[in-house]
Amino acid sequence: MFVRFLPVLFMILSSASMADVEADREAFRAFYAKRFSSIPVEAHVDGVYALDEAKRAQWLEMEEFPPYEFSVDDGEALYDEPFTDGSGYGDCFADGGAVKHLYPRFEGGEVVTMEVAVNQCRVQHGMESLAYDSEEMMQLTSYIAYASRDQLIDIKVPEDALPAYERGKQFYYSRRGQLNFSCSHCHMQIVGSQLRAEVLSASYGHVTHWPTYRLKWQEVGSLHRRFAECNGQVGAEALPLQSQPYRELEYFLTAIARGLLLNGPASRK
Amino acid sequence: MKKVMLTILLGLSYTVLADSASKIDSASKIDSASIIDRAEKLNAEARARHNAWVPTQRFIDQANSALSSGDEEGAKAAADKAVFLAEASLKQADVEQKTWKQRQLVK
Repeated sequence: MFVRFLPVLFMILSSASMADVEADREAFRAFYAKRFSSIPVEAHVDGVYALDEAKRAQWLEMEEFPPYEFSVDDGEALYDEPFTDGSGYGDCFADGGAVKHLYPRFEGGEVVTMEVAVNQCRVQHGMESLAYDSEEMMQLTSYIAYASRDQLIDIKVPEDALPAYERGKQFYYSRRGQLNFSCSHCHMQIVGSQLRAEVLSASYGHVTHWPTYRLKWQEVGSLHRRFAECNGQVGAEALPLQSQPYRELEYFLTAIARGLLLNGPASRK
Repeated sequence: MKKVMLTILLGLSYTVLADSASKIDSASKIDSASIIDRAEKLNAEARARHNAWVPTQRFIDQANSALSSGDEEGAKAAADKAVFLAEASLKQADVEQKTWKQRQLVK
C-alpha cells in the first residue's frame, strides 16, 4: 500500500525542494529591493557601482578602455587553437563558447564550474589540465564570459543537486574566521555600508561578471580568488580554488541569481 | 676541616641543583613541544572542517621557531595561544552547524 504512494511522496518532496531554491531567489530579490528601494534589483549586477554614483562615474571611465580586453583577445585565440587530437573547445562548448549562463551545472555528483568544465574538456581530448589561477585559464574564461555577455543566467538545480546547493547556502550564512563574520554579515546585514574606503556590495549579482580585472590584483582573476580573499579578510584560512566548498558556494549564489544578465568580464577596484 | 666539609657540601648542592635545573629545562621542553603538537592536531582538525583561522598557524610557526632557538617560555606562550585559537575555531564550526539557519532569509 505504502509502496504505491512512494512516487507521489517523492514528487511532493521534490517539488517542495525546488520551490525552496525559488523561494531563496525570491527572498534575496525582495531583501535587496527593500534595502535599496531606489535601485532596480537587477542593477546589482554592477556591484558597488550600482550603489555609489561617484564610484560608478570612475568605473564607467575605466570601462571605456577595459583593462580585461587583452585577456579576452588572447582567450579567443586560445579557444580557437586546436588540441593535439585535432578537436577543440568548440567540440565541448556550443555557440562559440557562449555558455556561461548554464554554469555551474551539476554533473556526475558534483558541481562543475566553468573552469572545471574547461579542464574536463582538455583532459577528454588528451590535453593537460590548466592551473585554476593560470593566465591561460583566466584568458579562456574571459573569452567565454565575453561571448556569453547579455545572456540570462539559466542554471538548474536538479533534485540530486540539492544537498550541494544546501551546503553552498550553509557556507554563505556561516560565521568563519577570527573576526566571526559570515558572507551574509557583510553583504546583507551591513550591505551598502562603508568599510574604510570600500562600500559593501549586494550578494545578488555577485556572480555575473567573472573573471574580473581588479586594480588591486593588477590582473584578471577568478571568483574563487575573490572568495579566498574575502575569507582571508575575516581571518579564515582560504580554501583552494575550485575546492568543493567554493564550487558549492558559487552554485548557491548563481542559483539565486537566475535570470540576471551576465556582464563579464568586468573591471573592479 | 670545616672548610673541607663546606667545600664538599657546596659541591654536592651544586650538582643536585644543576641536575634539577636540567630536569626542569627538559620538562619544559617536552611541555612546550606537546602543546605545539596539540595545537597542530587541533588546527588540522579545523582545516579538515574548512574552518581554520589564519592566526592559529602563525602562532604555531612562532612557537616552533621559539622552541628551536631555545626560547622555552616564548614557545609555550605562542603554543598556548595557538591551542586557544584552534579550539575556538572548532567551537565556531560546531556552533555554526545549527546557528547559520537563523540567519537565512525567509520570504
